[in-house]
Amino acid sequence: MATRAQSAPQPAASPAASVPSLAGGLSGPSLGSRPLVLRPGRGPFTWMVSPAKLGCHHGQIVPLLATAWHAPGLSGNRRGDLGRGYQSQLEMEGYVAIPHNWGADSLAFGAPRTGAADSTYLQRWAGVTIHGAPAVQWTHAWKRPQQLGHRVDWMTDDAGRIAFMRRALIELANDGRELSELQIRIAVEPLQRRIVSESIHDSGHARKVVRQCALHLPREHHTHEITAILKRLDIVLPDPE
Amino acid sequence: MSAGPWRTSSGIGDANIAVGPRTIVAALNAARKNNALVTHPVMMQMLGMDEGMGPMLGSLGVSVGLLSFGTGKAAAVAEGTATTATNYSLTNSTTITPARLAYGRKVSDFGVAVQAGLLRGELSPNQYAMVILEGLQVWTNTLVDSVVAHFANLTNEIGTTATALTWQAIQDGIIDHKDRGNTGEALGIIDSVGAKALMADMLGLGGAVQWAPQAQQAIQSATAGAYLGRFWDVDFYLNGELDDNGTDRFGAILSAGCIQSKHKRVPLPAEAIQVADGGWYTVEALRQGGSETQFDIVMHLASQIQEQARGSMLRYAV
Repeated sequence: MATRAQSAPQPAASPAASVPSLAGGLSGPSLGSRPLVLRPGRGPFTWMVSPAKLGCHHGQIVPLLATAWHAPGLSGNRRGDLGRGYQSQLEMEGYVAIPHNWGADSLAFGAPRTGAADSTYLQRWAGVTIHGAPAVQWTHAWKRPQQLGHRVDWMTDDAGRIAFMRRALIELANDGRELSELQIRIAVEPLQRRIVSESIHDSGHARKVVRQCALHLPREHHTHEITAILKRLDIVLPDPE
Repeated sequence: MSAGPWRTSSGIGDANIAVGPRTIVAALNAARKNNALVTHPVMMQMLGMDEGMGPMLGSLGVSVGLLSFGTGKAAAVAEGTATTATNYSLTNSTTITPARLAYGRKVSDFGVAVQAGLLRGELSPNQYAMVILEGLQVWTNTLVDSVVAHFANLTNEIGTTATALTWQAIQDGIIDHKDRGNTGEALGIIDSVGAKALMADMLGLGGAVQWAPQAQQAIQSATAGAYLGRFWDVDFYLNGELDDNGTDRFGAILSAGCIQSKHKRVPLPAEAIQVADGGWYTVEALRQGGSETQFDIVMHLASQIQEQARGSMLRYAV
């Protein structure tokens, strides 16, 4: 029993609250299940989105979000200011904060974030450290632990996260406007350059990376040069979804 | 007996356990990789600047003024014509405020877990030394964590989202890093995923008679702990503190002046039972409620990105 799998525990629920005293819990020996083993990090954060920090992921243009940690001492933060200092610094670089009550109807693992305890895009997990001390770990809402014995794997809902990020880009950073030509160039050109740059090597690793980049780059931005590189390297991409 | 965690929820009465360990050794700790980083010249420069700013008397926070000069070119001016002066441009970085950070150990827990000395009277000097040494390691871990916290927010990027790290990307990125004017020592920090991808790529580069120079360096550094090698004059280190967002992990290449730290030294007053003043941190023995003594390791620390141009994020697939 001690090594049974715990699949995707429900967020924010205390494992000790609804089980018999000898069947589990965080504060003592467990006969029925293992508490979730976590790696406590720096605590909560606020995501920041910029109209000029863009990349490509699985054929879509996505914002590359910055992380404004709330921990005091980090980049202008003072104790209790919920990361306001860090946000101010990133705002000077053109970022806009994603409010923690924004986008509640966005889906994470197929369910809307309406009524989420702390934030529409942050999730708080309670458990223990590998040394057994109580621990809390914060993640974004599209990440979820699955525990088997002492091993914890984190599952991600990439499609849900990307949909949330793209919505934040258009509604918060772009004031509802579609992406401009300049924004598209900012997103695709580094990837196009990298495909050309990596393709000079004749190694399996280089081919793998060229393929990864080509899959991320939206097909309408595959230039003639890139198409020729893929053909030369004998890389066949699956049809776009 | 396996090397379990040094922790118990039992009281001191449980110290008389039936079977005790014959000896105790320090368990292998992946955080020791952090120790390799703090002695690098880039980190030492950061701490030197930190110390050089002094004790922050009368102020809660500090900022650094970035003065832009030496960038202009002279223009043609006719004789007898006054030259138009160019104003100095000074940009203040964000003001950072050191926060109090602490880590505690209970003597009762120490007694149950480590035992030696406890049942024979006072704690021996080597046990105090262990707490002081742990203070140094906790401070090191905290400092490194505080530095890597900013990597995801570095503006200049090497690599692309959800894609493996390659030697070609590193090479292109280092040239861009140099192109912005960076000179001198540079520090590269990646995790094991990035290091494996990079090394696989390097070995794939091959060589006619011997390995390519960067592959040769990597192989020679195989036994050098967290140090991976010096490639294009950047010292690369393996580290386990790096953040990720589920898709990408964030390492970095740093030159001196990219990250700023500031410690506030808070000495312990006369009535405190001081175990150690490590400069960056203090260790104090506190007698708390329930007649339990606790060692508190305390530091006051802040950090920020001081100048974006002096660093590059390494973005690669988790």
